[in-house]
Amino acid sequence: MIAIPAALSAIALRLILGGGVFTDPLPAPSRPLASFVAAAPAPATVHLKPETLTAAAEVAGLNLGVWAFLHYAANAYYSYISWETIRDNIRDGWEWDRSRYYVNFYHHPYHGYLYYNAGRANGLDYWGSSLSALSGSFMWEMMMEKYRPSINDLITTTCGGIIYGEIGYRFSALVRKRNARGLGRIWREAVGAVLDPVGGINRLLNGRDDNYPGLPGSPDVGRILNGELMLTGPVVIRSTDLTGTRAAPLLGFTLRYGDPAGAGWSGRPFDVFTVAGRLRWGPDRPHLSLLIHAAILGKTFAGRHGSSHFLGLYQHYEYYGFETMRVSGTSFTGGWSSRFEFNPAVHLTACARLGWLGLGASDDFLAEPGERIYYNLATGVTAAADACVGVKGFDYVTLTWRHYNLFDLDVIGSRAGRETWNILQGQMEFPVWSRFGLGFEAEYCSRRFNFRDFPAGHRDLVEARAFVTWQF
Amino acid sequence: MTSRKGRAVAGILLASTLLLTPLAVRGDGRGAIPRFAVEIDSGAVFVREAGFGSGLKFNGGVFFRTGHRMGVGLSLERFAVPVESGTAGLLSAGRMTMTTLLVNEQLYLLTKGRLLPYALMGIGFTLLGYSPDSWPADVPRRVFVDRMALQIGAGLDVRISPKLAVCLKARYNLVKTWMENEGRTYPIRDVDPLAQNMLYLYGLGLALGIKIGF
Repeated sequence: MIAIPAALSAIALRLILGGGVFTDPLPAPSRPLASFVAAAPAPATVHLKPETLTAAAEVAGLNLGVWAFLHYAANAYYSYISWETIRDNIRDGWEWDRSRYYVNFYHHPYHGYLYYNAGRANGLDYWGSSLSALSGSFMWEMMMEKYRPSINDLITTTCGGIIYGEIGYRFSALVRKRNARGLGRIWREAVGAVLDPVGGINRLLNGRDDNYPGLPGSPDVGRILNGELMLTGPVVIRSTDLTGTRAAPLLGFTLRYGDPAGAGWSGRPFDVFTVAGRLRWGPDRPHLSLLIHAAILGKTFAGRHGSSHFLGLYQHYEYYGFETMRVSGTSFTGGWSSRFEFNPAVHLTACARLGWLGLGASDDFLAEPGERIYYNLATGVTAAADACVGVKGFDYVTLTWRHYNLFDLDVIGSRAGRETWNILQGQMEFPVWSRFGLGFEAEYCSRRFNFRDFPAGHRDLVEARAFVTWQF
Repeated sequence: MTSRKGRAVAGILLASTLLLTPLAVRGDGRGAIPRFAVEIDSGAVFVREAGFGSGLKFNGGVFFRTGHRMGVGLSLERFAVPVESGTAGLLSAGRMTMTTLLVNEQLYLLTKGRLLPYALMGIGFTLLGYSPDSWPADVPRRVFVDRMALQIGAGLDVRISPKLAVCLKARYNLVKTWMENEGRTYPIRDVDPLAQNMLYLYGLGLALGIKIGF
């Protein structure tokens, strides 16, 4: 998945090179007073000539390459395709795919991310590249497997691919530098290619043309990237209904691209986005949580006393996972973000969003434990709220809430019913030296369920951790 | 006599036209890779699987340039090779025909000049046929299962004019398929390919042709 290497690369680069790497070719703004302080204004829009046919050919080539690997190297039985399988797929129509949880909600978005970046690498904008992701996924579903096309694969590949693709594209553009030479050029291009593989291949094939679409100097450069990295020892995890008290180390990060309150918003999707991740080692296996939301439409409003506000339409891709408390989904919300300046040193940022969870999934703990193939597909309502108080450039208090009201689908392999999820996180941090600090976090996850032919119930999970943090 | 002289003159004129035209129009102008071209080639094909022979192949199609050094070729290819008796459990010798709709992506290593080498990769929608020399009346006929197959290879366009090039092409056609009784009534989706007696009809095709750009 793109988010982890993207986050780690971005943080590493930030650590090694300081702010300049993220703001080239624009001069770096002075360090923000706190994480949410205004981003640099967006550069003037550069009109890039889209190479639509090349993008389409590359999308088809990606499908071909993946299929060739599955057919000739992996000898996957579903890769034996022909005119007949394509005809049958068109005739028989769509179905719900029951591949494993991580395949459907992790691998498929990665595949979509490559389609999306084929569009981006050839000068298509967010909307054109989104069509690239959709068409690539559609081609795969209809042609490249002998299975019937899967509606949930089409949705997760497209929507997840758009999110990861645009994030990878933006991070890649932040890392690369116009007119870089020698070793600097090599490692910047290499890291950029990891973040945006299709763009990297295009740059390799087309030579080092700094005016080529997707390179630094495009309007996607020049934004603040800030956030924090946190590391804990074993955390305390307690749940009476699950597995008692356990401990597991955790690596967490939060990356904020652009200003949540809309400063610098140029009207282009993903000028503002946030990626929050938690990677837990154990207690049984690594678990990843990713909460991503990005503004795709919006309008800014200036308030009194230096406050600013942003009304936006957001796209989400969320993957919350821990033992039998797993929920994921792609959703669209409408929301409001505000930043209030109480005095030059203190600010409050608050955001709230409400919307439709198009397609989600939750683990089916009633089925055989341990096998992640058992999960419920769902649609529903999602809501979120965040608040953060910062003083003199350091975020002291952060509160987040995520809510999912799931209507589990009555489709094959899914247990019909209703679920209500609430995930609350509260964080307090104190600076110790420079941007480093110590903090304490409590996290509460509640899942209430009412499945057909099964007694209603609930599961609750509480985590508490002390951590070392670095805010940048 | 007059007729023979006339035929000789016509023959010399035709040969001169064919031989001298390329010399008269040099191929080092700009825009070496045409935006659109028609391509025809022919050559030999060699199937690797034991019991299958070699034969002639014919290919015709169109080419679209989609980027600075990329293009897509759409073409139809057909060849036939002899099949020995006993191959894949067949009761009779015969001929296998392979008709393929090819969609190949071509990546040009050079974009200007007289020589334009390229690598190609693509898929072929392959329709396979089998014509036995004789077949017992009381035994179900055997047929190949149609497949989609990978195409990989390389080619060289030798430009003899801005619009005309001679093409040399080597392409590997990687068909993995099996044989079944004719008249299957259930979807191919329900057949487990990994349980079949797989035939690797990997064929190397060598071809010479022309590409006319527009």
